[in-house]
Amino acid sequence: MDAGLVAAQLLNGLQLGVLLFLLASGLTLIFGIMDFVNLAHGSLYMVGAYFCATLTDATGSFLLAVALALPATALVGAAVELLVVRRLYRRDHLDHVLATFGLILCFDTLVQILWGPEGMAIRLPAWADGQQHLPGGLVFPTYRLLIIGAGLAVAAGLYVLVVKTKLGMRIRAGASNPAMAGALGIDIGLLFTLVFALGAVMAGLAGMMIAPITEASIGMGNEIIITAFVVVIVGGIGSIRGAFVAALLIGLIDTMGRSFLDMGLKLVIDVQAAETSAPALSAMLIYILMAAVLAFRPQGLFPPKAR
Amino acid sequence: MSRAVGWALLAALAVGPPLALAAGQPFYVDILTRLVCLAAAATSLNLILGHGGMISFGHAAYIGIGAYAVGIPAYYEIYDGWLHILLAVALSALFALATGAIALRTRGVYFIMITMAFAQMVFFAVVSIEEYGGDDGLVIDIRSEFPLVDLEGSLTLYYACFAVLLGTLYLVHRLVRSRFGMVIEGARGNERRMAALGFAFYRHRLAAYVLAGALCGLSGAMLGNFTNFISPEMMDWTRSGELIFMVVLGGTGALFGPLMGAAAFLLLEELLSGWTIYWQLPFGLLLILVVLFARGGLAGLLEGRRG
Amino acid sequence: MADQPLLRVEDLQKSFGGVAAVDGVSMEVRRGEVHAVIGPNGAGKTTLISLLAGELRPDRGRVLFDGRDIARRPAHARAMLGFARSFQITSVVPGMRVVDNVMLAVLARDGRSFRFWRPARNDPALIRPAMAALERVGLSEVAEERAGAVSHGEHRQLEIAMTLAAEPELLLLDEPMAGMSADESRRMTGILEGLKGEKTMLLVEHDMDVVFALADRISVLVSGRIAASGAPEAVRADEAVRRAYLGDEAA
Repeated sequence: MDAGLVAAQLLNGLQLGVLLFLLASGLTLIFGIMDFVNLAHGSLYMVGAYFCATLTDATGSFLLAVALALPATALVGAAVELLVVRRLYRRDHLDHVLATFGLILCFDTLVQILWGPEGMAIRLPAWADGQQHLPGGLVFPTYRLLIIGAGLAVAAGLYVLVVKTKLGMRIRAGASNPAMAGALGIDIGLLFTLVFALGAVMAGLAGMMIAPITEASIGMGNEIIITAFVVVIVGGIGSIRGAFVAALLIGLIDTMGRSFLDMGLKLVIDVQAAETSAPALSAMLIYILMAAVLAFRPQGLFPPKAR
Repeated sequence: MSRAVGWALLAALAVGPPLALAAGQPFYVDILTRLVCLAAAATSLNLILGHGGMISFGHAAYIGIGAYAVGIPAYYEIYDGWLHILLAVALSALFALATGAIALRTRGVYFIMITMAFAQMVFFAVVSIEEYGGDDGLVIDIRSEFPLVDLEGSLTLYYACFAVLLGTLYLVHRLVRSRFGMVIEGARGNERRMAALGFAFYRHRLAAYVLAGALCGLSGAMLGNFTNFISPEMMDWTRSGELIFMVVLGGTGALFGPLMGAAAFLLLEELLSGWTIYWQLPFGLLLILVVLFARGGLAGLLEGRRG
Repeated sequence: MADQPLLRVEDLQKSFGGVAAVDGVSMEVRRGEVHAVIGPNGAGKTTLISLLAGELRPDRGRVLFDGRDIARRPAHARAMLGFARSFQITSVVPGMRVVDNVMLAVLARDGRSFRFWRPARNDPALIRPAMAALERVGLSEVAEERAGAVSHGEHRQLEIAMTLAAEPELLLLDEPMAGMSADESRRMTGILEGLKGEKTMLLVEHDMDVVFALADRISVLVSGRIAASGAPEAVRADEAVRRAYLGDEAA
């Protein structure tokens, strides 16, 4: 096995991990604080990617486009919260999943109406488009390194926001006891809208970051959202720290499994069998991990504190 | 009232296809065959969702397992229908047993996401097996073969599917009225009370979950025979969402609810898609409106309840 | 074995976040008696009953039922041994009929719940004992109503009917009079009086009139500890109890 290839796949796994964290952190905050299941979280990921693609075309600058697309995605998130989600907090989870499933259909079709059925590519600026020579002779795309760096920076920023700031204190108060937070004079309605918009921004950012690699396309959020759910389950609902650890773990396991599982299998079973079973098995790996975690810790790695 | 509509619908389904053929409209036989298969699948989901309160978001996986239980043997030129059905039911039951044993240890949001994730696991596993067509699916050249009946005739196939629907309805009807049914219904209504009474209802729920999966596997086998073509798309998680929508649209917990819901669902799909290529937008909006304002479903509206 | 207490609690302890809600409680409930636990708000009564019913695990101590330690068994296993608990906050299955709720209790006792085919709702083995229990608490007339639709007092009576239908050896009654009108409370006292001598009861109740009318013995819980235990007259006379509890009630 080539050490360079392993290192490159580790970096790829890390990159998938930070993207998953951006999606899962918003989901887990919304679960933890509003007890709300948002299937349409992946739609905000898609909306962010399309905004960014259009704005990159219009302004000619990828960075400026991201800077403009982030508040725009936040507005979409806030609108969704005010128009639909807000009416559902007191309902049961079945209503949550159905209504947000309806939202997915609406978003996918609206994107098709506005942007057409074809996907949209984003051209990277020259400074982000090359390769970097890393220590040890490893060559890795600059942009993927930027994703990893930006993702880790956002994770750190989110940590500071939740742990150190006044807004973060309110978020934590709202999560542990909404009634008490209301009694303390925190405007719960506004807080919920803000949290939802914050989740939308992070999902949108993930979409913007991946779009130059995969292009923005309809339904792009519908597959990765399930992986983000797995991250939330493994990490423990409501735990940002859990989401971070689980996202990196799942990003690494998924990437490494797809690259190297067949080699591992060939050591124990015959080549033919390994080649047929490895793809299916590696596709199932993270779900098997989820099942294993749940068997031992039904509430995930970092369970929410008892209320 | 809702009972009467249900019986009327069944009567129409019993005589409709020969009339459609006589009127020179074979197209309607196809629509009704699909309706009957999906109604049987939705009825099996209603056993756990409507009566047991278990929000499974992975029920389409059993449709896929049932369909592949026909398709994969057919790929090896094994056409014995009884074997197909045995495989469809047994594999669905096994998958339900293994995943349900883990998922049913959790509650609420966890349960929804875990059932979804396990279904997605099957989806990705099938996608990654190139031998059976991967993403592109598999054509079934010859339908399941039974002594005396020939499913290649469209009417014969229809009545076979109709028989499966009737059987599923009758089975669910008996189950929910039995002692076993009382226990799962009680556990849906008040878990804490049921535990205090001395019920270890985890086992009842698991049994219901396995039964529902096995029944849905059977309807999946029929659907695979009908379409003559199977692909992972049949068990995409959005298909599971559609099954839930059918159950809720019809009215959870009412015997004929899923049948009415499936009929309304397909009718809407036909009408809206004939009207605009962007039919999913009004469809999604309607779903949101049903959740917000008509929670009792069609059965509820017919009984004069609004949920 | 007949003189052995039905329920014996030894040094039971449960803390929440460092605060002991139940702090070394020891007590006995004898066969056939009505044993009341009283105490001011926040004394730990609800925690104690949750520990006894198996909904909470104690940090320390033993719960001996018929001589067996059950402190770490789950709620449903205790119910099978002959515990039946009624809830302080009404806890029935609201979507099912009143009689269905009681039939569930009968079914729990019967144990044969893995029957998939025969209709349960006209099964005489379920419906006869259920109707008998409803008769005892005076609810026969509303048997067919949805449990969520009957009045508060009827909910409490339904609670008792469900507890009775499980044919328990020990009834754990958690504030059966909570939220009742004077009229409803009188009727409930009559129902419980009718059961006295037939069933062993552990009663947690605020209403002193009810407690002194029904109880054979009383234990007083103050700040998670038993401050006094004995016959009603002795407890009423106990100086420590008067100071800690009855005193502020009288004032």
